[in-house]
Amino acid sequence: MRVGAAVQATAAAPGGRGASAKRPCRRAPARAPTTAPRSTARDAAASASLDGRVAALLARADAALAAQEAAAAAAAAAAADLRAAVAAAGGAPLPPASLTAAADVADRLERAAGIGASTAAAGRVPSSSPRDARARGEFDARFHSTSTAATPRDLRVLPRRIVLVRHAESQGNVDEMAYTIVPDPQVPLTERGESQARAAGDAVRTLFEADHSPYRLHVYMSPYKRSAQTAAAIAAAFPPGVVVRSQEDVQLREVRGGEGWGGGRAGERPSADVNPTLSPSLHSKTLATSRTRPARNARKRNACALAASSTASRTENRARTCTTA
Amino acid sequence: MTLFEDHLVRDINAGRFGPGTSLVLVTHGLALRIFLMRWFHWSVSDFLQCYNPPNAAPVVLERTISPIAPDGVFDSVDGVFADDAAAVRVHTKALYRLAPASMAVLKGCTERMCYVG
Repeated sequence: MRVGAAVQATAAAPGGRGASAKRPCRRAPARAPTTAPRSTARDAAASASLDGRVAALLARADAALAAQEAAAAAAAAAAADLRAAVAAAGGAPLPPASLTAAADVADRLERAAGIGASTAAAGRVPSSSPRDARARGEFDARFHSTSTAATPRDLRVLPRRIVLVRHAESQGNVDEMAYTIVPDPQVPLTERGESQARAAGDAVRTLFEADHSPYRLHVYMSPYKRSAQTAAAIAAAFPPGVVVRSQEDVQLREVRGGEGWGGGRAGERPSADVNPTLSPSLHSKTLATSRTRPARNARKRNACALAASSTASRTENRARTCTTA
Repeated sequence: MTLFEDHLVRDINAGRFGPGTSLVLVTHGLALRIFLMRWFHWSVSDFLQCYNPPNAAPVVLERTISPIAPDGVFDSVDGVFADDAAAVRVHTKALYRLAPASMAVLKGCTERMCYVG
């Protein structure tokens, strides 16, 4: 990435940030050589020795200043490159986070190079606080109520991937009457679902092994039987020791709206695969039509044809279809 | 689901998961879409235009940032930030994006919905 390269070039420049950090560098030592009022041979020798030390210190200070000027020039050049790179990447859809970070680094480089003051003097509008993303209307987590919780201090803790898996085909997906016989949390997978779950395990394993680097899994699952079975089949695809922990979390259970709690009849349960927006007629379809696949497909087509229904009707149906399994 | 994600993000940032760990969340269709809605800040209409994924089809969120990014870019030393470092202000959720193959699995999901906008 060009942005990274520019910054790396700066980091490699002699002096780097380390030199600029020590900018308030004294040109001369505080104790200047003074001519001794009572001149003796001993004082003269001491004075000569002092002069020598001062000269050495001045030489060192000059060298430090030269290094700092070189570093500042390199920082200015890098900042300019970085600005250009950010401007060029501004239209790209991704990744806004990196762009923000890069712009911020450019700000810091310019400050290190002493550009901030001179450009302000030259009439450019200075950003009041370049580090404060709120000034640009952006999210600045330092000022967020969850500041320490929402932003990683150590990037090494970030999981490489987060994989979401919908449970495999359950009996309820095939025949919604299953929900009238078995409680929703205990509806098992079908045979086809079992093989889907094993295939999902293979797919996830292939994904993780593509990196050729060591990996571990931490599995969360909904406590519903169909999820637990799917999770077990996925975990079984990995060698022992890879899955370090499997845990149920009740917050991963299916989300249900108010109407669905407890009292809904199975026939009123719309198909899980139908976009809730597009299902205005589901509730008028009763048990008879929800049994067979052709009927369900016809229902989906019907639902799609009604996609342009009114907002009011959609809102109403959205509330109803929150019981999707 | 919001609570779950809050807790997950706090767990992640606290170092709950060791190096090289990936997470697998086995859940349900609507719950999965709501997870994505809350993670990527989808609007209600974004959410409604997205369909349930097929049964047992993995939907993958990939980390977009390398823990060993060059020091200068994110002002980190081996991935650890100083208190005032630039990238610290990036929310954990913004460091992930939906993998392109997973976008295809989710009918109705668009490119814009694959990262924290």
